[in-house]
This record gives sequence, structure tokens and C-alpha cells, in this order.
Amino acid sequence: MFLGMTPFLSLFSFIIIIITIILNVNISMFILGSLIFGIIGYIIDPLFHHFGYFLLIDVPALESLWIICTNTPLLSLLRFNNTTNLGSIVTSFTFSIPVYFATIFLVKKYRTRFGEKVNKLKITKIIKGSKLYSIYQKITLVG
Amino acid sequence: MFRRNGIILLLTVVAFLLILPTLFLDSIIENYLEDYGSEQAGALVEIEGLTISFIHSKIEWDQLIVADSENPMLNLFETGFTVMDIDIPLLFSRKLLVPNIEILDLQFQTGREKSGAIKKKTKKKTEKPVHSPDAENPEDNQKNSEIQVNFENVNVDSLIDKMEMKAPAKIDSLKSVYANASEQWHKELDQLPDDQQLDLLEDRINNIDYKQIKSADDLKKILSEVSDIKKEIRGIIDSNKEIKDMVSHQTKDFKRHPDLVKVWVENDYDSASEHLSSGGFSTENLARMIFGDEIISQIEEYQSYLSKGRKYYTKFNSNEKSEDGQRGDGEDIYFEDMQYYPVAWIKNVQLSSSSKAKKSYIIGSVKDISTHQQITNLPIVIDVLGEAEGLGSYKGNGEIYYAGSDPREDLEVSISNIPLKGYEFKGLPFPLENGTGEIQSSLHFLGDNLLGSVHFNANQLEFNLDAENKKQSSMIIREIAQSIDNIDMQAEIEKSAGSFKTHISSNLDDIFKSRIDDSIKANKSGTNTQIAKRKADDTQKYQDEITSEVSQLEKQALDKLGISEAEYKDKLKQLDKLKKEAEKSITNKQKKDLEKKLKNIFR
Repeated sequence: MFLGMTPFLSLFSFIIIIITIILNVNISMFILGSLIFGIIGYIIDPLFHHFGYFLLIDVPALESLWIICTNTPLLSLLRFNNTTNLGSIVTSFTFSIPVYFATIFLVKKYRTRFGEKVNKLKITKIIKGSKLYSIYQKITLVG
Repeated sequence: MFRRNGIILLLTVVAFLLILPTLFLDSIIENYLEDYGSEQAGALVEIEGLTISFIHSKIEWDQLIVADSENPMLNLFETGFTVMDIDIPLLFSRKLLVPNIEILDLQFQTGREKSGAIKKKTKKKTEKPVHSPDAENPEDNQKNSEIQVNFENVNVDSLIDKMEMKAPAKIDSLKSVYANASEQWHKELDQLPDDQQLDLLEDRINNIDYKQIKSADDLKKILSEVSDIKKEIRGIIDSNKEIKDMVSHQTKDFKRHPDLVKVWVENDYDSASEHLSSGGFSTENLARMIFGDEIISQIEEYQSYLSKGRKYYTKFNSNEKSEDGQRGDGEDIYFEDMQYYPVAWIKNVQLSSSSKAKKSYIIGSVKDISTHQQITNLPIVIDVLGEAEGLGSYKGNGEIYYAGSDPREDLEVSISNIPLKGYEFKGLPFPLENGTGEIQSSLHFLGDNLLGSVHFNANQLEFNLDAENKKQSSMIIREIAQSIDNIDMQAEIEKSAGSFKTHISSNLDDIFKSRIDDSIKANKSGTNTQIAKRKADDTQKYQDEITSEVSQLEKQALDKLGISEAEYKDKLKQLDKLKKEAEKSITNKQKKDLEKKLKNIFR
């Protein structure tokens, strides 16, 4: 989710990728989530800008925080003073907890109701038999 | 929780990423700076031999060349070896703070072998056109050219020829009055009977034959005819007289005009005499003619440099999004805070350059160049001095401040020991053989306005009087050039609403005026004789012209009147005689009968 919502070419995305590599995260879900939220993020990009602008300009109480963020070495590289960047990061954090529980709920539902049926589908078998899938499996094995 | 293989992979990648840049960091940053610099400058930026030392917090390069975006075959500037201290921790705050730069061999406007233009997306430029004194101040230009005319013809004859004579125009207007009058006369004359009509009248008179009278009715008929013809002739005589009176009345007025013409011509010559005694030119115009264009073009050169500075500052401040933008472009918000640094801030630039071959050097400093002066609240302070071949030694200092409501640039420039050999002042067609000059200028730009002054002083001047071979200059110019050994010029310049106002004065004004006055005084008797003779000749010429014109018109009108009044009166007498003969030809008895019938017929 974080990788999809925030601008890809940023230090924040880089940190997310590193965390994903280090921690025992489900790579499939990471890729799927990034794709889905990447599309959502692309669509609501202007909203991130407005939200970030609101946080940076219209909330005086936070001004000192942003000054620290922009003046602190390394921290400033996260570009918290950028409207879209800040908007998307804060949105990602805000929605991460409900999305976490919603995802667990949906995965459980999928496994009980559709998991077996999907595995039996011809298309699933084709995908699982492809080279791309074997590469994916090797990556997950590395993890 | 942790992925062991993932950690190994990450460490491998990190190690790889650390080793590679260590090996190639310099060239990576060199390329990046070239690309970024080119994008910002709008022209090619080339860096040679860049090395970065994080341990010593230094960046060095052997050569930096920045092409001129407006003239890609020239470099805006180029530097030799340069060493730059940088604040490394601030780099991690995405800020560039340069406490000190030492630049060697700084040169401006050097030539290029290849074009320094870069391909860029075309944007409509809204820059103001470069100031052109000709276009913006046509009056000034006209004045200058007028001086040029007088200047090159400083002698009595040519000055009289160049005088604005008002008499010819007035005489022309008189001639148009005559033409109108003549037209009016001819309209009236056209209403008089023409030759054919007069012949018919003559025939009618000749056809009256009193011997044919047989009866009272015949007589009555003839007398009636006689009466009609007489009426017609009297009418013609009256019209004739009326026209003649009109012509003679008007020509009487016209014949007074030669006296008027005399006054006009004399007034013109009196003005010419006065003009001659003042030397025939305005000293204010003279100074503007000699120095005006030079000063304006110099200021325009300064302005072109300053406008580049303003352009780049605006570019850094505008937070323009790149056109091929990506997600996350958004908007960078900056906060005013004491801890806050601008994106880039070069605190101190030490310049030095020397060339034994060119006998030139430059040393100086530029302080507090920053991308956001509203944060540093410090103006750029320039302080340079040097010497250049063909220019002499110079000293310049200035303050540039863009954070106010209007951009402000205050510059003080002084140049001394300017070698003037070969220089040719406008209006003086002799190059200098010897001489040195000094310039002190003070220019204060605020927004689009300018207030400034320029003081130029030249000493030990010697003109090469033999070099002038294209045209024969008047003796007076030659004498003046010979007598000048010093020039002292002071100019006050003001630019507002896009147009320059200059007030320029120099000792040349006085030199020229006094020399021309002397020359005129020396030739005063000869001059007066010439003027008097030309005055008399011209007066006579114009008077004769007017007299002849009036006489000619009068003659034409009178000629067209044709048969004179006396001739018409003869006709009337002839008719009276015919009437008497007719009356005699009838008997007394018939006469009495007729008298009754013919009552009222001769009224």
C-alpha cells in the first residue's frame, strides 16, 4: 500500500522496499497491494496535494514540525515539505490499520470460499506452469 | 520475522552501491551537474576534472564553461581551477551551502568553437525587447542628426543655406490667394457675352433699317428693337464695370504685397544673423550627439547582464514543475525560519585571474549569492578590480537585491587609464593619436527604472588630423580638434516607463561655442556684407516675382473683358442715331399718332 500510494521515485519508497526485503513480508501481497494502491494513488494524486497543502499551510501547530523535518539532515530527504509526498504518506499511515484488518478479513474469506475453486481453474494452472511463476517462486524462496 | 536471505541480499546491494559510486562518484556528479546546470542556464554547461572530497568537504574542478543562451557561440563565463568548500551535512538536507569558492582565471564572453545551444522545449518568450534609443526616442535621434548637419557645415554660406526661411512659404500662400482671386474673376468674366453673342448683337443693330418704315407699327417695332438692344448693352456695360472694379480693387491690394514680402525676407535674414552669432547649434544637443549613444549602449550592456541575473533568480524561485513531470511533483513549501537555508547559498566567491600575455588581471569577491534572498535577507555584494588590455584598470562594486517588491541593483564602476588611441568621437571625424580616459559611473536600477550618472574625463588628447581623408571637414572642426587636449563630460541618466532621459554636458560644448563665435567674429564684416547682399538680392527677387504675378493676372483679366466700355458706348450712340433717323423718317401726323403708341417705349 505504502509503495503504491507514495511517489515511487522517493526515499520513502526506497525505505519501504528495504523493509519488505528485510522483514518476512508476503511478497505476493506486497506486489498486488502496490499495484492496486498504485492505481488508486495515481487517481487521487490531486487529493494528496490538497491534503498535504492543508497540513503544511493551514495547520499552524504543525509548522514547527515541518521546519524540523525540512532542516534535519537525512530527514529532509524524505521531502515532507512537498504537498503530494506528505499527503500520500500521511494518508497511507492513516489507512494502514483499517486496510490491514480488511485485508486479513478478505484473505480469510477468499481462502474459505474461493481458494480451492480458483486453484482448479484452467487459467490458474497455466499461470502456475509458466516461467514467470517459477521466477516468482525463486524470489519468494530467497525471502 | 527477519528474512535472512533478504538481509544478505540487501547488504550485498549496499556494498555494491557504496563501491561503485566511490569509484565513479566524481564523474556521476560531474554529469549530473552538467545536465542540471545546462537545464538551468538554458545553454551548455561543461565541467572538466571535477573531484569531490567528503573528508575535506571540498569540491574542485579544473574548468567550468557556461555557454551564453542568447549567443551560443560565446561563453557567458568560464573559470579555470576552482576550489569550493561545501557544508556536507547540509547536503543531506537537500541544501547547498558554500562558505567559500576560490575561482582562478575567470573570463567573460569568451568564444566557442562549437555552439553552446541545447535542445529545449520551445516556450514563448515574454521578455521585453532590448532597448533601442532610435526606436524609443525618435526625437533625440532627430536632434542628433540635425546637429550633424550643422556640425559639418560650420561656415556662413552653408549656415544661411540651412536656415529655415519662412518667406518662401508665405510668398507661396500669397500666390495661392492670387490664384483664387483670378479664378473668381474668370468665373465672372465667363458670364459676359462671348464673341459669338456680341456678333449676334452687332447683326441685330445692323439689321435695323429705318428706310423700311412704312407704318406706325413698323416704327414701333424698330424702336422697340432699339430699346431692347440698348438695355442689353447697358447690362453688359454694368457687368463689365463691376468686374473691372473688382479686379482693380483687388489688384490694388495685391500691389501692396511686395512691401510685405520685403519685410518677410528681411526678417528671415535678421534671424539668420542671430543664428550665426550663436554659432548655429545648441550645446546641449552637441554633448548628446557626441556621447549620448555611447552611454546608452554601455548601460544597455550592463542591463543585459543584470537581466540575466534576474532571469536566473526568478527561475530558481518560481518552483516551476518540469513538463515531463511525474507523480509527487506537488509543491515544495518553504518556511521562514532562522534555521532555514535557501536551496543554494554561496557565501563568498573569491575571484582571481591574470594573463601575462594579455596584460590583464582581475581580483575580487562576490558575497552571498543565494537562490532565496528572502531567507538570507542579504544582497549579493560584488567587489572587483582589475586591468584589461584595451580597457585600462577598472574597479566595480555593487549590491544586488531581489527579495524586495522590485529587484534592485546598485552599481558603481570606475575605469581609469583607458587608452584612447584610435578612438573616434562621434561628430569629430579625426581618430585620436594619443590620450587616456577615466570613467566613473553610478547606476541604480529599481525594477524597470534607472537613475544614474556617468563622468568621463579624457586627458592628453591629440587628434590625428591627417587621418581624415574621406570628406573635407571644415577648417573650424579641424581647428577645434587641434585645440582640444581634454574632455570632461558629465551625464545624468534617468529611465522610467521604458524611455531614457539624459542630460549631458561637457567642456566640448563651451569649446565649440567659443571657437565658432570667434570664427564668426573674425569674419564678421565679411559675413555682414554677405548677408546684406543676399538679403537685398532675395528681397528684390521675391518682390519682382510678386509684382510680375499680380500684373500678369490683372492683364489676363482685363484682356478677357474684351470690348472696352467705350466701344459699347459707341454702339449705344449708334443706336440713338438710328432711333433719331427712324423718327425723322415719318410725317408729323404720323408722329403724333405714334407718340401716343410709343409712349413709354424708350424708358
